Amino acid sequence: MSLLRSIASRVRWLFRKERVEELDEELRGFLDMAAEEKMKEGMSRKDALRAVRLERGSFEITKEVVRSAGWESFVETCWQDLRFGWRMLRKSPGFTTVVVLSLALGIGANTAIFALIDAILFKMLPVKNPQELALLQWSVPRERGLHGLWYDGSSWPENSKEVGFSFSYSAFQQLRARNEVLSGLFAFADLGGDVNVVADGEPGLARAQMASGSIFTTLGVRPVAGRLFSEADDSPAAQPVCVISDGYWKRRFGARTDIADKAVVIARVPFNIIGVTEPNFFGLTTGSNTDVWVPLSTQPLVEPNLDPKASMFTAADHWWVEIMGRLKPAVSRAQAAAALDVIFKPAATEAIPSRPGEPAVVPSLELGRAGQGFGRLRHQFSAPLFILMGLVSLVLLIACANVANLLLARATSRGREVGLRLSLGASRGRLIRQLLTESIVLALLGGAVGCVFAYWGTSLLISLISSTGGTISLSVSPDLRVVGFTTGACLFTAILFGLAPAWCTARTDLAPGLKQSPRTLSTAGLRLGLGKALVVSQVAFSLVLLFGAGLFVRTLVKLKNVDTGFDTRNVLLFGLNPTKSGYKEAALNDFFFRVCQRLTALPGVESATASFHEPINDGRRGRTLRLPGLTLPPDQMGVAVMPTGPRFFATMKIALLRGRDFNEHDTERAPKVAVVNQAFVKRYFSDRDPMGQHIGFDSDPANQDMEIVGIARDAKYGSLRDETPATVYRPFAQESEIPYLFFELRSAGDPLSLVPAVRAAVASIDRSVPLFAIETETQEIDDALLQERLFAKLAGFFGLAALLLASVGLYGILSYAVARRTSEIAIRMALGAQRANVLRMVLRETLLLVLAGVAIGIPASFAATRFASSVISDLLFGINLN
Amino acid sequence: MADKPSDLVQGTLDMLILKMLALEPMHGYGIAVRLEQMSQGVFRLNAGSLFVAVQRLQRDGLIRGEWKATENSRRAKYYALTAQGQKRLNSETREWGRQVAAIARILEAS
Repeated sequence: MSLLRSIASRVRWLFRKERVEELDEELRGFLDMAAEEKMKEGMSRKDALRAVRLERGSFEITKEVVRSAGWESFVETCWQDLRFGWRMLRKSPGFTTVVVLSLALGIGANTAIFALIDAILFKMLPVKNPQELALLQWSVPRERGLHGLWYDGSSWPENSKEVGFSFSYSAFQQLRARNEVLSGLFAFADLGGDVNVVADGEPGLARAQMASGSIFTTLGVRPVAGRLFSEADDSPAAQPVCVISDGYWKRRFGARTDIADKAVVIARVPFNIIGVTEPNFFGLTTGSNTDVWVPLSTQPLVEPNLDPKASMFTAADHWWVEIMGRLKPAVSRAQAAAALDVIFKPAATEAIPSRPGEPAVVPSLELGRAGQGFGRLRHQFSAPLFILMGLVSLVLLIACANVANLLLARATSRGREVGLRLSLGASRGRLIRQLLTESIVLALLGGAVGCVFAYWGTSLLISLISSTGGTISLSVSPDLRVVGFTTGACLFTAILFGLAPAWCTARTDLAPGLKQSPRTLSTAGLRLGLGKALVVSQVAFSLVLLFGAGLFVRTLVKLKNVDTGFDTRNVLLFGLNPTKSGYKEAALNDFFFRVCQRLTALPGVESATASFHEPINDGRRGRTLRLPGLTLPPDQMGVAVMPTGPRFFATMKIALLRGRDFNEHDTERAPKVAVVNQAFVKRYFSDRDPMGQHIGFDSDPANQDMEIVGIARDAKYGSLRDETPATVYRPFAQESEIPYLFFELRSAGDPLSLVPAVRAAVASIDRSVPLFAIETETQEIDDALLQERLFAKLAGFFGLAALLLASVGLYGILSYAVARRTSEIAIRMALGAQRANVLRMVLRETLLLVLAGVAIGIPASFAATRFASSVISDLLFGINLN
Repeated sequence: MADKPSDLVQGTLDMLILKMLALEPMHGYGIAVRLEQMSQGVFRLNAGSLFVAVQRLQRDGLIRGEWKATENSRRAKYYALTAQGQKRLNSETREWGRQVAAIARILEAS
């Protein structure tokens, strides 16, 4: 408190104008009184004043001493310096503009990337004490994996482990009933894709999530209207109710106040809206805002076709809910994880089918931090964002070098001013302080303009990382962290680019500075040396950036030129999900066959087929192969399975080496058949002829005996980067759990021109089934290469920007050097030097600088790549870093 | 003779000024003269040291200034101790006594 009061009183002190005059009067009074005393002793006034000055100090000096004693005077002189700096910068607008723009580029790029990092990695969920939240996750050794479950949700490799986030509902119930370390926990699951929400007869898409009753009480989210879920709402017996987000309330319902008890239809099920969440709560997933929450108990209603075999709520091997909890106070994360693991292990062991001759895989439970929300974005973009951060900090360094160079050149023209100040008694420290203040003004201006750049940059970046597959909604509103980062960057750059020139300037030798023209100042040589060093470092840094850009561009080119094994040109792709319109089983397959037939008949369509996954996408279905008479280690029995429609190989132009394509006769009642690829043959049939052989899938009773009827050339499936997996192609009608299909049309001309005809064709069969994810195969591949394209573009852009900055720096230092040598050059020419000789002389110097930069830059690039190889090797393709 | 604060033990000037003002409110010159008299000429302050200290004390709220007429009908700023200043003086006097006694003990211990 006393500290606060003292600061307050000091600030008040600072703004008291009369203070200065008061001090003067007081001081004069003091000296006068002392003089009067002396005069009483008989001195003359003149002698008395002189004696007082000797004894007590002179008026002017004392005034200075007293005034500069407190920190107020420091603030005061800073303010003076600021005003002076501002005037100096206004006097040379050209210089100021160039400096501010280069700094703005550097600071803006850094702020933009940092704002994204902040939004994706650092921002906390706007809930009560977010640091107490924990996300439950399981982990198993990476080489074992988790098999034999009905698994819906994310899992990914992390170090030597496979980490996943979905659990069975029964595990959730046991954890909820028996744990003593969490003050609350809830389960949630996304309602796949966008759901149709009909309000007042109008349909509209929304992102929905199912959640157990305690979600809002555990998070501590409050309603702005109506009420939120309670446990009573999360029961099969309860009336279906839902909660909507503030954003959705405003967007869809115009924030109408009578929202409570409004009836809506979500995914063909009538619901009542009971309330709206508080405005800043956007959901649990970073980068995707939830519009509607429904109770988990309504899952059988809203996803009637998800799993026909068993109830999602009782089956221990159906892992589909994510679980989040709040730690009790004074319970550490490790303690809580250990306590929960004890409950989880038996439940998990029971659920996971053990395989003969193998130790059982027992996952262990861990607690991840959930305070920042959860999601794919963090996992997918954290490493790339940090690499981008590295790239842009290089740009900032180059910009700093550039500005330092310009300041050096300017310092020359200010030699006289500096000399004058020094000779009038300014200390060098004071001078450096003033020059640094000017640098800070420049940096702050650059930062201000940079913020504008950053604003554009961030929205550009977000649109770049949003693919057609899903828009990313991030709130990148600047918070304290971003503001702090930018301010810090400004000050850091100011010192970085300002210190060396300021130091050089303040070292100016007095006498020649006043007498002679600035060109021959004695520190000019030193300055030129420093400038050259800066240019060399700029060239080197730009080279590192360009090298990085080269790596990413090369990766993109290589990936684009990967042999996919099929013809990617002139293919139209779209998805149909008739289960949402009530189709099931035989009717569903019949619908798919009819669509295929209708599409083939369309004019302009050469051939049409379908597949369960888009050919190049993240999704890939896997099964464990059963092969009579062959025993391989279990981890080698996993194969990729691709359910396809009739004429798949003909339409995709995948060469069939032997056997036949699928056709309309391969229905669920026909003999089970399969086509395998070369990788499959190489792994399982290296010694015998696969044609006519019979294979089966583990834990798939319907497909125990399939005949191999064809061998196809290897074609990429899932990822462009991976080796083609051993793949079994299957007629979709003979595979289970096919709720939707993607259709592929081979067209004669532009595939997108077919879209209206395709829509009409599908509508003629059933107009209630909408098309989704319409794109061409080339677009799909572009989407799959999103990250690679992003990197190639950004790194290329920053590389070019760096090159531009380096050129400006080179130009600056050369024009300065040439100007300095004008008289020397004139003498040379007068003595008979040819124009060409002079040119050669200047160019040789330039070339030397550039060569020196290159000589440093190339090894530096290699070193930087090696240094970052652990992070970037995942982003590169077909490039050997060694 | 010490006429610069740096020759005084660090921080003692503030304490001495507080002591002067505890006797009665006085103006800057008054403080200097009284200090000189009481120290029998050992401490002769110059204006700079005095006013730096006075400003510091005033800023910290230990003394308070007020413009008044002097006996020679000249305007001068009279300083008086605040309650906080009195408290500070007491504590510093106590501490000073303790330190001096300690130093004396050490020096006599030979």
